[in-house]
This record gives sequence, structure tokens and C-alpha cells, in this order.
Amino acid sequence: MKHSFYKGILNRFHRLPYETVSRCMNEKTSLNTNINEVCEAYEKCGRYYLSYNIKPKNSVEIPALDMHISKGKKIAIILQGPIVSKNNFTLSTVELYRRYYPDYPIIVSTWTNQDKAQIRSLEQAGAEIVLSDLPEFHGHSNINLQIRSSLEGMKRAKELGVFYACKTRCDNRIYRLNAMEWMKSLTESFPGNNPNQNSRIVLLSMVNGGMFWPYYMSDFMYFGNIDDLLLFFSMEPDKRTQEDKNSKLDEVEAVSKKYMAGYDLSAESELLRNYARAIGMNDSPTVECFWKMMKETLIGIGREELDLWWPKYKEKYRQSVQDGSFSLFENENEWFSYNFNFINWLNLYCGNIQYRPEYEKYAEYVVGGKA
Amino acid sequence: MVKNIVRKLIRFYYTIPYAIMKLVIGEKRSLSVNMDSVAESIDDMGAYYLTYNTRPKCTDEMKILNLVNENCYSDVAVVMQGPLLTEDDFTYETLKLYKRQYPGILIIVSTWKGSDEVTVEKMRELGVEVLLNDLPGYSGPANFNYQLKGTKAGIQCAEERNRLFILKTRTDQRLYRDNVITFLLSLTEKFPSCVDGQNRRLIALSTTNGSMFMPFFISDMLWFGTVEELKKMTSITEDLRTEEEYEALFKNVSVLTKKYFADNDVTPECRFFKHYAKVLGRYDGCTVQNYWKFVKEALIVLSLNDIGLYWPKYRANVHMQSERDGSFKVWQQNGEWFNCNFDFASWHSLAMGNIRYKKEYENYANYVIQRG
Repeated sequence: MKHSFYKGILNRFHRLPYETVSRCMNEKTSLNTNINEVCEAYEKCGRYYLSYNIKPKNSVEIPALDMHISKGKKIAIILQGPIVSKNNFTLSTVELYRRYYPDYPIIVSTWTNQDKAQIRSLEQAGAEIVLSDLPEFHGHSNINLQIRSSLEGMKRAKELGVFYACKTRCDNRIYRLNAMEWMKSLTESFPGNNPNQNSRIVLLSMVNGGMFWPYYMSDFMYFGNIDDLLLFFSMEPDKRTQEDKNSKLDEVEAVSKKYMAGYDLSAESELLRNYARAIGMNDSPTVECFWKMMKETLIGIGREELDLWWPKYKEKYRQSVQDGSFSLFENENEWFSYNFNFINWLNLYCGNIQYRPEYEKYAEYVVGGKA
Repeated sequence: MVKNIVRKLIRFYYTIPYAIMKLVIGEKRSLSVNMDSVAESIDDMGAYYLTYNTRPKCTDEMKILNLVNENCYSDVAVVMQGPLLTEDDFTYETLKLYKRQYPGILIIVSTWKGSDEVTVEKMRELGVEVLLNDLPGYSGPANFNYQLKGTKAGIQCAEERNRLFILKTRTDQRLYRDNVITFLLSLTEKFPSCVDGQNRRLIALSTTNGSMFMPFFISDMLWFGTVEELKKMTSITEDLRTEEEYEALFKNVSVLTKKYFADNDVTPECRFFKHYAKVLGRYDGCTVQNYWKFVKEALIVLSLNDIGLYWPKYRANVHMQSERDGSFKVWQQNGEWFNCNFDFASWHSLAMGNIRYKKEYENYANYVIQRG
């Protein structure tokens, strides 16, 4: 209460020059002028360099030159989850993808309870809509919702005869030009050798020392062969409730990265461990088994490498935190910036980075609990 | 004049809550609370999302975990060229970071006689090889000859020390991402050259402003490759065009297009890369088609973001990360194709044949950069 009161005052204070310059000149000038001066001011009297990134809310402002070859193997882009209406986010995202990839199917896999007018707008923007009933049982972290909407989207993509699919979310936007072609190129350049897999799956790294958090790779985006992704999401619904998860967390004084992975307490690691079992990999919650899976069957890239924007949670504005490059509040042994972005993944793949038993201790880093 | 006063007032205005909170809750909290608030205010009011990056000036704050075996660097030298940047001890702090990230690696700073002696001494104490060169008699347009001389001296030193690979960078730039050097080595192994006579591809940085359509406009700020390839790149002669001759390039035509810039070596970047293409026998005219063919076969191109490069130069846009990395700028012109640049994603897609040259791209090279 007290916190939001002060925050409100501070926000109002910061709005004033922005609004004034916008009114006297225009928003674009105001934006650059104000943010430059903020960065300049804080940088001059502090210990940090500052820079900023701007992304337009309305994707029409982004130049979209379609460079891909139309005769190549087709990619379906699947946006799953509830439609985001604030700033027309999902609609504008579909419009951007339509311009970036004119002949790729765009599938929005969402729920029957969504607003009909929004669904019509998405269809008019060129998306195909797949509607499913909400599962009765959501599971912890809404994992069953993600499984169902992703799977239904995949099934439709398969019917459309695509070779590749990119599972993303209705509240995510990939701004990077040629992102789909790049991920396709990655699977072609780095073929896997697992007999139960057609090609590697490209996925996003998590931050907070994700290299030492077994199977904790982001579930925002998966790119790969359509049959592999169908297998990925063909898993049984999780029967545990959020309360079950919370009581498991309460069982111990300190919740480590390894504990989280071992008891499937995050949707991310649960999905990936399930896939490990599906393709015959060892799913033990160790750094060793996780790295083996990364090296042999997956390709890790960073969120910034796709220029992915997710307008959720208070840390959304902190780019260096979101992309795992630097945190002002890094703890000892957290190894915040050591994550499976493309640099670290390629180093692992080529053998420059090799597993050592001592890394298991970094998985004991405490991320929560009573302690 | 008025503009400057307004800017100073705005800066002072923003400093007030930041400075007060810094005293009460400390710098880190003040920074994140205020920046979050600024970003949220803009998000709430306008047509843009805003995110911000923080990077420590003092590199001791970067936590480093050595995952790569030291002997992976035994064939590599880092050559940093240019005048020392002493503000915030930038060059020295960068060296300290590299020494922790890449223990045992040979680092050569190729700079000028008359450099700050205290900094030179500190760098030597770190175990850095410091070359103090004489400035060339004539700087050349855009200090081309300075860069050429400083880089050549660094390459020679690396060769004398039996290094096979060189990361050529600048004294006013810093790579914050860790494990970049083995990443670059791995890229050259994974993507072998398609050009006879080139032992490995050369890795370079992309430029922005739709540089996919500005022939041979690849950045000269950072190169990674074998000693042989860097020697080929720097086998170019000095740029002896006088100031008058160089200015005439801007005055003698009514419009300056991307193609005109490339054709006439208006930028050092085009001059270097056209030369390199010629040495490799891959220069067949200044067209988008030839440029893309050369990029596809002989280079690997990365963006600033791909390797976490920071460059505190040119105050006008030093903070504008999205403009610097070529992802977005608020003022864009039709036909500029600002976001069409060879970052790793686009380069890799081109190399794998998933994006291809189209004839219409030649038209985009006729985009007018400035009026004569």
C-alpha cells in the first residue's frame, strides 16, 4: 500500500517532462530526449552505463521485408494461451508475423471463452483460430493449459502439412527479422543424433544461472520438426494442484535449483524432463544429464537473440536481467549470467565447455524456501 | 542554445529523485526503482515499450566463472587498437575483465606514443603487451590510416608471438559477454570457408541502417580470424585522399545513396571490405548481389548484441541501444529498411539458403542517405 503510493508519486513525477515535451513537440522527440537525459543523468553520477531499447506497440511501425524463400519447407507459427487485448497485443503480433512471413500458417490456439470480436479480428488479420475448452484441472503453474492449447495448435499445423512449427505465446512477440528462417537454419546446421528425434528443438534459455538449473529452459518458445513437437506436448496432464506444489516447497528449509527440478516444481523443467523420457534420455535432475540432453538433442538461444518481448511482471523493463547478461542484485554462487544462450550452447556443443562434477554444487544454490 | 538549456533542465529534474533515493536506499535500488518508473510511465502513456540495460563501469562487479579450459586460448591474441580511453578507466577496466574471463590469453594494446603513462604502466602490470606506435603523418578520412597502422602493428606482434588467431577490437569497446572467444573459434570451425585461398572465414560485426543493402558496409570495429586473413585485410594502402578531395565526394553530387557511399569508399568500412574481397578474388563490382555472395561465402557476421559489445562513443546516440544494434529507431524513412542488417540470424539464414538475394534489392541500394 505504502509502496504503491510512493510509486504512484514517482511515476507522476517522471511523466511530467515526458508529457510536456510530447505536447510541445511530438512523442518521438519526447521519447528520445527524455530517455537520453535520464540515462545521461544517472550515468554521470553513478557506477553504471545505461542504454535503452524501444519497441513499437503497434507493429505497423516495423519495416517488414519478406526475404524468405517461398518454396522452402513450411513453418507454422502457433500462438497459444489467452488472447491479450491490452494494446491489441496479440492482434498486432499476428499482423507483424503476417507481414514477416506472408505464406506461413499462423495459428492462434486459445479458449472457447475468449472474446468473439477479438477472435474475428485475428481471423481477419490472417490467423487460423483453434478453440479448445479450458481443462477442468489447470495443474500447477497452469501447465495443463499450456499442454492442451499447444497440442491442439500442433495438431492443426500437422493437418496443414507443415514440416516445422514454432510454439510461442499470445503474450509474447518476436521482433527479430528472419527469426523463423534462423531457427530453421539452426536445426539444419546442427542435426541431432537421437534416433527418436527428427531434428533438434530450439528453445530459449532461462536466466539466473540456468546452466546449473537442471532442465530449466524457458517454455515460451519451442521450434522444431512438427512430429517432435507433437511428441513434446503429448504428455499426461499434471494432476497436482498449486497447493500440492506449495506444500512440496514447504517440506524443506531451503529450496535448491536441483530440488525444483527433481520434483518438477516448475512447468519448464517438467516439460523438458518429460521430453527427455520420451526420447529415451536419462532425466535425472543433475547438471550432467541436463547438459548431455542440451548437447545432443536441443539448441539453446537467448531471448535477446529473438528480440522477444513479454509485457508481464515488474522486471519486464530490465533488459539485462531478462536476457541474463547482468543483474544489479546478483548473489554469490548464483552465476546469474551463465545460461544456455547460443554462445554457451555452441561452446558446449563444440566441446569448449565440458561438464565437471564440481558443477553439481551450483545446482544446490537456494532459490526459495523458509531459509 | 535553447535546446541545450532544456536538456540540462530535464537532466537536472530527473536527477532529483534519483539522487535523494540513492542516499536513502543505495545506488542499485535507486537506479532500478527510478528506471522502472520511467519505463512504466512511458509504457502507460505512449506508443512504445521501453526497456533498459545496465552495465557496470567497474568490471570487478562482473562475476566470472571459468568454464572453458585455458589451453583453448593458447593460439589466440586479442589486439585492442586505438587511443586509450581513460574516462572511467574504460580501457584498463576492459583489460581487467578480459584477464579474468580469459586467463592466460595474450592481449596486445596497440596505441600511440604520448598515451597516458599511468594507464600504460597499469596495463603492463596486468601482463598486457603495450605497443606505443608513432602516429602516421596523415590521419586520412575518418582516421583510416590510424586504424590501419595500429592494427597492423598489433597483428605483427601477435604473429611474432606465434599466435594463429586474432580478435581485433578497439580500446574504446568492451565485450561484456563471457566465453566469446571460444564461441568465435567454434563458428569458424563449424562454418568452413567457401573461398579458395581463405583458410578460415573472417568474423565481423554488422553495421545498421539497412546495411544489407549498402554494399560492403560491414563494420571495421571488430574482426576475428587467422593471422593470415587479418594480414590480407590490412594489406590495403593508406588512404591519401586530402580533406578537399574527400569533401568533394559530398559536394559534387545532388544525392548520396548507399551505393554511392560504397562505390566511392566514403566510409572506411567499405574501403576495407572491398579490398578484402579483391584480395580473395571475390570482388566483381559494388552491387548488392556481389556483396551478399561475398558475405555468404567468406564472412560470418554478428551484431553488437550477439556478443554483448558496448561502445561509449558518440554522445548523440550512445544510449540508444535499439538504434545501435539495428533493431528499431523511432525516426525511420521509407525504403531505409533500418532493421535489415547482417546479424548472426540473417547471416546464418543466408548461408543456409533460407533467405536469398532478389533482384529488387539493388533498388534499395539507391536509398538516399544524404543530399549533396
